[in-house]
Order: sequence, then C-alpha cells, then structure tokens
Amino acid sequence: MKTFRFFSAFSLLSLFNLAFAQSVPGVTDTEVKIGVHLSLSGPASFVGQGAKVGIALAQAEINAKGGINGRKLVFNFVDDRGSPDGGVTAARKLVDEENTFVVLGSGTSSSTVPVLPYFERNGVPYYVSLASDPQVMGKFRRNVYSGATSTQIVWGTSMAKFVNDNFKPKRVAMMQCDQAHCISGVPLVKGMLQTGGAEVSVFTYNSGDTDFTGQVQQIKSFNPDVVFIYGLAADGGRILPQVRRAGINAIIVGDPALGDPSVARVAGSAAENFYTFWSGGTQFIDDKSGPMGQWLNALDKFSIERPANTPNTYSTMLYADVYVIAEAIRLAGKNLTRDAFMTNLDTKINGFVAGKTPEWNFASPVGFPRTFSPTDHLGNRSLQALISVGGVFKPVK
Amino acid sequence: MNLLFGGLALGAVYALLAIGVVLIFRASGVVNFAQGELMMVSAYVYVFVSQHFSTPLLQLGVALSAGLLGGLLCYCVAHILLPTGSKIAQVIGTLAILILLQASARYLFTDVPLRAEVWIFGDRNVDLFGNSLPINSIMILGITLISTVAIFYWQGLTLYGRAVRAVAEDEWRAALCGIHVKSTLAVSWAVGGMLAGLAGILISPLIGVFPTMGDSILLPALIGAVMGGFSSILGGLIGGLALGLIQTYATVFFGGSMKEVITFLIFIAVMLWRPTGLFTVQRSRKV
Repeated sequence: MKTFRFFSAFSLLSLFNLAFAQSVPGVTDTEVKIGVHLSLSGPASFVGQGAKVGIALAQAEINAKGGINGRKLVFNFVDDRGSPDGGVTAARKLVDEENTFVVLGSGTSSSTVPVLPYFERNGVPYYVSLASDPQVMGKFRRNVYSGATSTQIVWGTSMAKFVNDNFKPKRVAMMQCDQAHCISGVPLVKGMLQTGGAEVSVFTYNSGDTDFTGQVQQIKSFNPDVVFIYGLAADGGRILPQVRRAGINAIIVGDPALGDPSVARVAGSAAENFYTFWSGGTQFIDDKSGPMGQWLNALDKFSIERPANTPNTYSTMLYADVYVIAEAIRLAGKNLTRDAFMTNLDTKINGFVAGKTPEWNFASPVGFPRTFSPTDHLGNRSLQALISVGGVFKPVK
Repeated sequence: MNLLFGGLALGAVYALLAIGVVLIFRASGVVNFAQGELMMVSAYVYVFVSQHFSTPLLQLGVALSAGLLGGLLCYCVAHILLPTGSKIAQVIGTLAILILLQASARYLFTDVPLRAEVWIFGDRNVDLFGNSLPINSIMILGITLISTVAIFYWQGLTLYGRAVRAVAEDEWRAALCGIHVKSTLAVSWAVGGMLAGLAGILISPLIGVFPTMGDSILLPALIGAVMGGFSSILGGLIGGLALGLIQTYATVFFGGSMKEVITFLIFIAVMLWRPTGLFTVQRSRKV
C-alpha cells in the first residue's frame, strides 16, 4: 500500500514537472515577456534611451487594443552600458534568469556582437534591431534576425555609391572612430570609394574625443573634395564645427549613426548641407507631417515618458521592429512557441510595415518594410540619404 | 600655426583646471576630483544663461558663480561633513561629488551634447601672422594667461593671498598668527571652482556641453599638473599647455588612436627624469 502511494505521488509529480517543462519560456495565458538589452548608460546612452521610447509606444498601442491573441506584451529592460561585457551579462540575465520569450537586441554593435555565440548555442530567438557590424549577419544563424539596421556591407555599398555618383570625388578624407561599426565599416567604404577612382586617406580618433585640431589640420593639408565621418552622433556634433572653423569647404558626409537631429542642433550652422543617411524610412523623425506626425502625436496620446533629447531616430526604428515581432507572435495564434515565432518571421514577414495591414491599422506606418526568408534574416536593406538644411534633415530625392 | 594655437588653446583649458586643482591641493592637501564636474556644471549654466541673456558680463558672472558655489560645496563635503583627519576620506568625498553631479546631469540632459555659443566674439577667425586663426583659441589662451598672472598677484602681493599660502604651508602656525584657517581654505576652494567655471565657458563652444565633459578634460589636466609639479601654479600652467601641444602633435604624427599612448609615454619619461615635476625642487633638510 505504501509502495503504491509512493509511486502514485511520484507519477503525479513527474507529470507536473513534464507539463511545466513543456511550457514556453516567457509565455503565459495573459502575457508574452520580451527581453531587451540596450545602452541606458555610457557614451551610447542616447541610443538606448531613444530605443526605449519607441518600444514603450508600440507596447502601449498594442496593449491598449488588448494585446496579441489575448496576451499583453511585457518588456524587461537590462542596461548593457554599450560594452561587450555589459551585453553578455544582459543577455544571460534575460535568458537564464528572466526566461524571456525572445530577446530584442537594441544595443550597439559593441554590446551585440559578443553575445551572438551565446544565442547561437541556446537557440533563443534574438532579434537585433540596431547593430550594424558585419558579424551580426556574417554567419547565418537560425535564431538571429536583423531588423531596422542593415550591415555595414550593405550600407557601405549604398553610401559609397551615393558619394561616387553625386560628388564624383577625387580625394576623400575619412574620419574613423574606435566604435565597432566604424572599425568594420570604414575599410569597406574606403575600398568602394577607391574603386570609384578616389584617393582616400583615413584619420582616426577615439569616440568621446573633444578636440580634433590634429585631424582637422591633416585633413586641411590633404585638401579633400569630401570628408566622410564615421562615428557617433555626439562626435559629429563636435567635428563638424571644427572642420568648418578650419576653413575646410569640402562636402561633409556622415554615416547613419550621425543621422540624428542632435548633430544639426549641436553643430549649428556648420551642419548646413551636411549629408548623412538613415534606415528608419523615407520620412525623417523631425518631419511632423504624415505618418511621422501621427507617430509623434501618439507619443503624447499615450503619455510616453521621454528623457531629454528623445524621441530620436532609434525610437522609430525600435517602434517598427516591435510591430514586426508582434506580427510574428500574432500569426502563431494561441499555440505560441519559439519555433512557430521564428517560422512566421521566416515565411510570413514580407514587406511588412505596421499601420498598413488591417490587424495593425492603429499603428503609425513609419519605417522601411521588413522582409525575411528562411535563408535570409536581414530584414531591411534600404537606406535614405538626408541633407541638413536650416537645421533640419530632409530626404535627398 | 593653426596647429600651434589649437594645441595651446586646448592646453590653456587644461591649465585652468590644473591650476585650480593645484590651488586646492596646496591649501588643503586634497586633490579635488570633482574639478571637471564643476566645469561641466558651469558650462550648463552658461548655456542656459546665454539662451536668455545676451550680456557677456552677466553670462560670465553667473557661470563663475556656479563654479564658486560648486567649489564651496566641495569644501563643505571635504572639510565640514567628512573627518578632517583623513585625507583619503576627503578625496573620496570629492569623487562622490563627481559621481553625483555627473549622474544628475545625465539624468536631466542625457548624453546628447548641448550647443554653446562662443563667448563675446562669436565664431569668427582673425588674420594673424599670415594665418587665419579662430579668435576663440586666442581668447582662451589670453584669458588663461591673465588668470594665471592674477593668481600670482593675489598670492604674492596681497595680504589675503599670503594668508592662503601660509595656511598651505602650515595650518597650525598660520592659526597662531591669527589667520582664520577655515575661511582661508574655503576661499581656496572657491577660487579653484571659479577657475573651473572659467574653463567651462571657454571650452564649451568647442566641444559642446555634455555630462562627461569633465572626465575628458580633468584627466589631462591632472597629468599636466603632475608633470609641472603638483604644488606649483606655474607648473600647472606650463604642464597644461605642454600637454595640449603634445596631444595635438601626437595626433598629427602618430594618429588619433595613438594620442593617449604617446601622451602617457612622454609623461612617464618626464616623471622618470624629474619625479617631482618640472617646476618643483625636491626639498632636503639637515638631520
């Protein structure tokens, strides 16, 4: 009798454990938990702070409509400080401790690239929104996707073509910072510019440097037609005035990281006719008309907390990517699993823009369309050239 | 010539911070690690005042006042709130102020730089020695030299300045002579803070205003102060100017990414040659 009771209890416990083990991490009947690592502190904190605003708006809009298939979206944010070890710590916390369903990588390349092997090993869906280092998409990984930003190879090709076609430069001075996207991007763009017939010289600096007298004087001696700046928005705001103050009248072009309203604001008149790029859509963030105007109004409508100097370009990028994730979750229905989520991304996300489909018609249709396939997880290859006129970035037609 | 003036302008800002740190150290034996943050706070104040008032003297006065108040805050933490017997505790107190001010600025303004207008002369160039030089660079250098002369005059030729030097040499004997030690110390911290405020007004149009601007200026300033001799005001000036030139020319000859490496190599070489700094003589005494 005692033996029978023992085995009955043991069987019940085993069944209970089995049921528990088969439940999907981060998914309950009422919510889906999405982990986010982003730079809320450090030199790239404006990236993370802006990203959080976009995520918060998408979450508010979706949850206001009852969530997805009856499940509300819950976001767990972990600060990765924009550093490699911060990224690893954040990713482990989100997966191992907080059991999130999918991890949304909203950090810089510096904090994203080191965690790729970890996600490759554990198979948890990892949706990278902002990191542009070629290593993100260099190796195909079943569970890793790239949303808003493309890779330096794709971007570099677009940017070099833009410069070569529009300015036909004979001499290009490139300024390269020590950030991961600069180290990977500059050699690529340099090669393409050289292929276009330009002589290219690279001048290095450390992100966060405040004085560029040495580099600027070297550039002045080089006498370029185009100055191409690879760095962060804060760097651009400092470099532009120093270049112009030195009497350099060359065309100045910046990589997409410099496509931020703060560059024009800090640089003032030095930013006039400054070219840059952004991957957030055909309409830049400071254009208050159309879909972008609708998006900006939504921030007020949902009382989204906005730190100083937000929303920024990263806000719209993450907003669009949250809806991509939401769509893949919606298509899985009630039986939401990680495999179903990834299968939906691979097969059902084709030219998707929230706000242009019946299910998400309440969203603002900002951002370039996202398209994935089972063999290509690079969701966005588009890049819009911008020019600063009167302190405002406008699309270059 | 542009390189020379650019390097000297950068070095002049380092020198202003270095002289402030040296002043405070000479008076109280405490290295004020919050000196860069006092510069940052003054820079933010300058930005906001210049957005609403166009009077240069008012802009200068308010920013200097912010530096002065910041210096007094540091004095209160180091000498009133913390046990005066422990220099380490006082130094850590200044580090706490550094973290507090930086974190507060980051919370209020994020890391996105704010734009600051050039004080008085605007963003113009002037022809000098056959070269077109930014007038701001010349102004920074000129103001630093004038400030240094003013500090020398104050400490060398005025009664209160001599009192400050007396307290710096020996607090106990100075007190015996009737010098009010606490207020003298407070004045040293306040003047150090004002120098940081002046640095904030001068450097902010060049680099923008952001929460961590103090870090990027204070470390080179400290190196300049050490190189020049940590107890010498002239050493702080020369050390700061030299460091600005070293950084600028190191960028040209070795690249921006090697700037810090070259700077520290030269610093180590100077320290090996003159361990007490370029302008401090090692004292010996008869035993």
